[in-house]
Amino acid sequence: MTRTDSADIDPDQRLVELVLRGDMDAFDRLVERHHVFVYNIVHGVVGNADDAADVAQEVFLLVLRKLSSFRRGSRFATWLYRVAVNRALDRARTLSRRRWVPFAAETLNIVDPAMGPEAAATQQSDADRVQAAMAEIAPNHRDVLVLKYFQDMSIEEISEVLGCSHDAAKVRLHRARLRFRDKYRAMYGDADADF
Amino acid sequence: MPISDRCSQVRSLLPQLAAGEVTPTQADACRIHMAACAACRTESDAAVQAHRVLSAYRPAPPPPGLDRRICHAARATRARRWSPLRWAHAGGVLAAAAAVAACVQYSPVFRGGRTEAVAPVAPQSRPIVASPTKARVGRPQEPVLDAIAPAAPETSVVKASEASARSVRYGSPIRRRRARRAVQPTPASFMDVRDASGVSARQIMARLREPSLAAGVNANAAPDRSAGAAGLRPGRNAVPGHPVYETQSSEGSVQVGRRRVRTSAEAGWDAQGRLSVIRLGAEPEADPGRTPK
Repeated sequence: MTRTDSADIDPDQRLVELVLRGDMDAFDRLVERHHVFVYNIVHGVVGNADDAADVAQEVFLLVLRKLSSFRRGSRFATWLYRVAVNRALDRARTLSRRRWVPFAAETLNIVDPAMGPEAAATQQSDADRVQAAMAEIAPNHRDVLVLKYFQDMSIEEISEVLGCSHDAAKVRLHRARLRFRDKYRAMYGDADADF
Repeated sequence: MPISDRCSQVRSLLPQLAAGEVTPTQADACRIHMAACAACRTESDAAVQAHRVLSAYRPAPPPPGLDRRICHAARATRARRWSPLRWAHAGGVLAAAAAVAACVQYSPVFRGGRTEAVAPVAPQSRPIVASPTKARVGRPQEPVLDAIAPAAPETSVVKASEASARSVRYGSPIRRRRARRAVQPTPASFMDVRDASGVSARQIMARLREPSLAAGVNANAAPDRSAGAAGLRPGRNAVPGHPVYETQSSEGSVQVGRRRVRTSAEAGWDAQGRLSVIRLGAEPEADPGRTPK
C-alpha cells in the first residue's frame, strides 16, 4: 500500500503527516477525534476514572513522542488503541500490585456483605455490577472484553489492536467471557435472572 | 454429577451462542441438548445474562476538558524539550551530585564512610540537616534527622594562600595532601560544600524550591496524587513529619581524584503533588588496595 492510498483510506493519515511537521493544531484534532475512545478503553481496563484520565493523557503524550516510528501503511487508530491497551494493562497490573489502590466512587459501590442480596441488587445498577465484575478478572481478559463490548469491535479489529492472530483473539475472548460470567454469577448470582 | 462429553462440548460453545457467533447447525445442536439437560440450561442462562449486561454497558463519558488537558500537556511537553529550565534542572542535579562527591573526598565529616543528608524543600522553610557527628561510619544507612534546625548561613570558600597553592602543585606527596586539606574550607554543613563551579547544594535546593521548576518536575514524574488524596499510607521513604507519597531516585557514579564515589539523589512529592524532599547520598566505592577498618 502506497502512502497516497493509505492517506485516502485513513482520515488520520494527513493529520499525522502534519503533526510530524510540527503542527500542534493537527495533534489537537487527533486528540479531539480519539480521546473518548482511548479514555473508554483505558477506563474499562483500569477501572477508575482518575487513573483512566491520567493514562489517556500518557497515551497521547507517548504517541506524540513516538509518532515518527509509526508505520505509515497501517491505520493510525489501530496503533493508537494498541498503545492505549498496553498502557492501560501496565497501569492495571501496577494497581493490582498495590494493596492501597484508591478506588473511585463508582467502583466503591460494591455490594456490602452486611446487606441482603435484594437490597444490594436494588442499590446497584447494571453498569456498577459490570465494573465490579470486570475489576475481579485479570487485566488481559478485561482488555478483550472492553474492545468487544464497550467499543463494539469485530474479532479482526481486536486481533489487530492486540497484535495477535484472529484465532488467538477468539480464544482470548472466549476465556474472558467465561471468566466474566463466572465472576458475575459469583458476585450477583440470580439477582437479575428475570431477563 | 459428572459432566458428560456432550455437556462439555455444548458448554464450550455457550458464550458464542449467547453472542450469536455460532453457525446455525451448532446452535441447533446446542438447543436440542439443552432441552434435555437442565444443568447446561443453567449455564446457558448465565452466559446469556453475562452477554446481556456486557452488551448493555455503556462506558462513562470522559471527564469534561480531558481533550484540552491532553493538548495542553502535549504542548507543554514539546516546549519543555528545549526549555532552558530543563537544562538548568539537569545541571542542578549534576552539580548536586558533584557537591556530594566533593564532600566525600574532602570533608572530614564524610571521609571514609557512607552518609546521607536530607533537606526538605517546599512547603517547609526550615531545613532538616543531618547531624555530622551521627553520620559517621557504622551508623545505620537511613538518614539521621536530629532536629529541625534554622538554615545555616552560606559559608564562603576560604581562599588558598599562594604558598599553599604552590605546595599543592609542587610539594612532596605528603605536603601536597596537607596543603590540599589546608585550602579546603570546613563547611558548616554538607549543604554548604561547593562544587568546582562554586555552587553549593543549598543553592541547588533553593533553586529546586522555585514553584515553576517544582511544577515542571511534577509534570514529568506524574506522581500518584490520588494516593495522598485518599489519605493512604506514605511511600517507603517518607520522612516523619514530611509526608511523601511518591518518590523518584537516580543513582550515578563520579570519579573524585583517585576514588570512585557512588551518588544518589531522591525527590519526593507530597499529597498535593508538590516537591517535598530531596535526599542526596554518597558512598565511596570500596578501595581494593585497602583493608577496611
